[in-house]
Amino acid sequence: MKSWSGDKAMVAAICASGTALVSMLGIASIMRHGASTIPVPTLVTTAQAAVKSPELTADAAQGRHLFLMNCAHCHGDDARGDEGPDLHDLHRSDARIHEVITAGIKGEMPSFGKKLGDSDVRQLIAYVRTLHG
Amino acid sequence: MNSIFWERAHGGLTHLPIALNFAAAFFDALAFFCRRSSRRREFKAIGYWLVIFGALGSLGAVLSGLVLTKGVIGGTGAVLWHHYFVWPAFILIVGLATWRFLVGREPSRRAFKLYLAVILVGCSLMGAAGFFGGEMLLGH
Repeated sequence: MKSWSGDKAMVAAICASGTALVSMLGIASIMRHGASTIPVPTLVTTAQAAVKSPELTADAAQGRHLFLMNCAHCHGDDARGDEGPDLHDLHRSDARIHEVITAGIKGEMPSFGKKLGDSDVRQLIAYVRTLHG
Repeated sequence: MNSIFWERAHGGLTHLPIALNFAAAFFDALAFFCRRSSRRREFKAIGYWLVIFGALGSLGAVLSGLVLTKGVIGGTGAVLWHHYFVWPAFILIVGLATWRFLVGREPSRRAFKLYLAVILVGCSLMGAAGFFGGEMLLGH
C-alpha cells in the first residue's frame, strides 16, 4: 500500500476517531433505549447528587457520597435498584448489612471489606437507613 | 447473560488493548532511540502492528463496556471517572492507529516524535481509565 502524506493521514485519523466515537455513542443510545424498562442512572456528578439531600446527617451525607462512588453503578443512583436490588426500606439488621458490604455475596455482589473501613460501612448504613418509600 | 459475565468479559477484553498499546509505545520508543537502522525498522514494525491490533481490540473493550453499563456513557463515582478517561483514550487510540496505518511503518522523524508523545498521552489515559475500572472491582 502506498503511504499517505502525514497531513492527509492526520485528517483521515481525525475522521476515523470521530466516526468511531459517533458509532459507539450511537450504539450506546440504542442500548439505552432498548433497556428503557430498566432504571438507567443519569449523568449526575457526586457533587450535584450530594446537594440533593441537605436534610441528611453528616454520617448519612458521607454515606451517600460513598454510595455514589462505590455502589450506585449496581444499585442505581437513587438506590432503587439496577443490577443490584432496591435498597429502600431494607428489613435487615445493621450487622447483616455490614456483613454483606464487607464480605459480599458470592456470585452476586463483590466484597468491599478491603476497600471500605468500619467507619465507611457505618456511614453507608446510615445513608441506607434514610432510604424510605 | 448476566452482569457478572459482562463484568468478566469487559475485564478480559480491556486488558488486551491496554497491553498492546503499552507495548506499542514501548517498542516505538525503542525504535526512536535505537541507532542501528535494521533494529530500528524492526522495532517500528512491531509498534506498527501492535498499535493497529490495540485499536481493533479497543472496539471489543468499549462494546463490552457499553453492554455492561447498558449504554450509559456517564454514570457516577468511579464509573464516571472511568468514562472521563476511557472516551478520550478510545479516540486517541483509534486516531493513532489510523494515522500509523496510512502513513506506514516509516513516518518522518518529526511526525514520529509527535506520534510518540500522543501515544504516551493515550497510554496515560488508558492507565487512568484502567485504575478507575479496577476501583470498581478490585478495589474491594
